[in-house]
Amino acid sequence: MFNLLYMDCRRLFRSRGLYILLGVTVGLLFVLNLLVAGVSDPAFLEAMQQQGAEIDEIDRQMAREIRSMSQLTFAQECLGSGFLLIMSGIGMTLFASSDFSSGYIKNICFARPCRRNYVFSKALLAGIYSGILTVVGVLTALGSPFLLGLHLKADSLLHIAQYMFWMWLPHWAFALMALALVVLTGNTTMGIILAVLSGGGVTAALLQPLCQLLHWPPLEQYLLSSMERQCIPLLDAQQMGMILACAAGWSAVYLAGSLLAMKKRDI
Amino acid sequence: MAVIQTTGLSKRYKDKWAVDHLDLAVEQGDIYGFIGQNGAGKSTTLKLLCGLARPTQGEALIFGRPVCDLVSRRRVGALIEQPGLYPDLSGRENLRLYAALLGLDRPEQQVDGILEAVGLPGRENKPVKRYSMGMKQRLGVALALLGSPDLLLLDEPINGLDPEGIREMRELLLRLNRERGLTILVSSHILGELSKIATRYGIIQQGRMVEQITAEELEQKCADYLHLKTSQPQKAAALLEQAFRLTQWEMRPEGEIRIYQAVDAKAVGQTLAQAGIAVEELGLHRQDLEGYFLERMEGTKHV
Repeated sequence: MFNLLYMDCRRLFRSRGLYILLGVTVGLLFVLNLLVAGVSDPAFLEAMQQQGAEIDEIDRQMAREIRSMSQLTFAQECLGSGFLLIMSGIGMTLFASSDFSSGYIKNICFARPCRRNYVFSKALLAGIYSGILTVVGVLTALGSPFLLGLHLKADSLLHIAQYMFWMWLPHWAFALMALALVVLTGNTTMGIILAVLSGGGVTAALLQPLCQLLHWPPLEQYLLSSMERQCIPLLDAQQMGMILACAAGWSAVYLAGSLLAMKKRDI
Repeated sequence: MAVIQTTGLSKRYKDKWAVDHLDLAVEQGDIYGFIGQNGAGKSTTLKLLCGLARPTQGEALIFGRPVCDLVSRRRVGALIEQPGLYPDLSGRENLRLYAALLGLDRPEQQVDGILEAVGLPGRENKPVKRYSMGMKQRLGVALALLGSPDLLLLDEPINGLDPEGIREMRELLLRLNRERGLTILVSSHILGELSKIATRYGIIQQGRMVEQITAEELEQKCADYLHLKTSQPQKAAALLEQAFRLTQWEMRPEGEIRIYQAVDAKAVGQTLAQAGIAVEELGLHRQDLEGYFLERMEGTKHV
């Protein structure tokens, strides 16, 4: 399995896919923060008003709130809507599906016939992939306001590391969902669409009224997109337990699906 | 010792048997030409031998061990259908990844040696998506050769190659067989090429083995023969057997007589005429592998 993991890591860092995805992540976050830095700047608001834009007290209140945020609260506002989930899902879909679209899966399954090892290696790689995206995403969300002149209240390195860790767990589980979809269907497009819909919270939005209609408990709060939203900078033990349990539960489901699909699949 | 031995090997997809109770034997040192029409089951058989598909029934042994056995698997290199290559990575990097997968020692050195062997040095750093079909095929063979296997399974390795590429591939396979003692199972549609290298043939149709034959046996069967059709085939055969002391002849189902030993066609005609047997057809026949293959295909269709 470690040969497989080594091969996957080598491919990850030698191919352009990871760097393109990281570039898009950094670029989009930077643009978002540029807009936020603008609307939180009183001078900018004044200039807008002089240009004829309608700036009211709510806008000024929002600007004050942004400027009084801590770095991590600001990062969570940027990232809590599922952006990194989507990027993890898309990245893992593209990475895993290229095994099948290129036909390299034949070489892999021939040289390493244990299909279980293939799935476990990819699962570990999903952790590495989502970990890199989480670290780069969070660092961009933390660093770009500073570069744009928005000086937020600094958080300790320990809190930043903790925040990254708890953000990473749902991202990893989500990347496993992408892996399971690729292994089950071999369809890249479907994987990307589901990553966007599910990561963007569409599944949760559909599940919420359904649960209300059927008088079920609010199941949508156990989805990975909801977990990411709950990753506030300072979590209590119950919140940590919840994120851990959900990430582990979904990971187990997706791993089982991937293992079953690979076991039965003819290459 | 049989390097590959399958017994009743079968694979069913939905309601179709892609491979149907196939008994195949490849001996040490063979270059085994695996022949069959499109959809005959060649690629499926090779996938079963590589463990990429699971048999519905039957068993396949490689070096006397089951296909799933890791020890025997490490002695096999394979190129199945199109070469599996990451298009964005270079040829060298594709080989390096496979070397990492196999856990080879000194992978760079091995990769250099293989690139040299398949004639790709100097072009190995371009992304594979810019390779010609022939270069991809060579790289596919290079992948199969990594890890110094004792058995090569090649599915249509000369597909898409130009005449020069075909010649180089043929020479490469012959060199590997002679110098390294590699046993090679190669499937191909280009029977003329196959006949230049194969030492044994297996003909497959609709998933079933029609015939396994050595190159010597094939040569004998394809040897020039005299064929004749008469109004009374049984009587003619008895007469000729006695008159010319025939030992190598056969009576075909449609009444055609084939004589595989040297006889004078004119004398045969005269003998039959003197006995009052009308000769409808008389002539010499020469056959190549393609002709033999087509004949076997036709024969089994009639059955």
